[in-house]
Amino acid sequence: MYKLCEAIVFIFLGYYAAFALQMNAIGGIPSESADAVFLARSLVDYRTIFIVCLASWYVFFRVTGKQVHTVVTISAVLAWVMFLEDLLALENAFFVPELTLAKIVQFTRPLFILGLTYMAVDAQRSKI
Amino acid sequence: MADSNDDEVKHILSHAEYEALLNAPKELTLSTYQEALANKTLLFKIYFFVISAITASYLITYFVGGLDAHLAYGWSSVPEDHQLHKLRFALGFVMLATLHALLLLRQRLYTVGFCAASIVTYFSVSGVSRLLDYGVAATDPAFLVIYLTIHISLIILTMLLAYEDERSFASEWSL
Repeated sequence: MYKLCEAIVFIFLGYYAAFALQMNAIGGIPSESADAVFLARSLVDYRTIFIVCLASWYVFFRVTGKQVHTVVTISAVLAWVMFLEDLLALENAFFVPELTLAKIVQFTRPLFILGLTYMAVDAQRSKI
Repeated sequence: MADSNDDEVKHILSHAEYEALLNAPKELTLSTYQEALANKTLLFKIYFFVISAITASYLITYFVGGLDAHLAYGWSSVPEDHQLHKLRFALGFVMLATLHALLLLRQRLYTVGFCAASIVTYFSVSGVSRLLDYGVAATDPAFLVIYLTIHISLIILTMLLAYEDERSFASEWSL
């Protein structure tokens, strides 16, 4: 089950990386306000940096056989914080229905959150 | 010689006792601050009180409106900025409450400390970049310095708290 969740999480991260690159290529999320465009764009950029750092940290620890429970828990908590920000504050501002990648990211996000949460709980329980 | 061997035998747990210890119900009971901090190191206590004082002061200043003109939504016309700040300060309050609750429940704070540090890092990086976008470095440099100092202090202190908690835990069990 842990490996399945791990696969789901990394597939989602692949889609998210592609989405972030596409967003940069088209110059950001279309919106009526330039400030809102900039807010969304800068958040996508900083989130991508955080995700790349945490994913690299996780992969390095997995490859070297070190314990990953702390990094998985940190990743899960940050994923929940970002999800709450989008849901409660940004009202899904990142969702661009015209982009296929945005749709995929939006619809697979609950799976990603659940998978990462399961990984965090399992890693904490078995101290892997 | 025989006496010392007898003493050693007395400390060996039987298999039934070991199983009973493993299966013992782990009840969560709230202790007092005095009890919870009794086995902690002096540094842990210092970090804990400084974190609580800084976070509480920061949250109170925000909730009485003292930061409205200085944070990103004071400079931008985006309602999402306001919503984002409300949510982030609410999460800050939740993190502080969680830290105190876990301490009183006598839980380990290592992972929680690092989770809090990573959340504050995320808030701080995106918050500072928003302030820099609006030229706050030139128009309100004092606030930017205070903002950065508070965030960096909280990040460092929560990580130190996590390490100190492990040290306290290790010293408690080695007694």
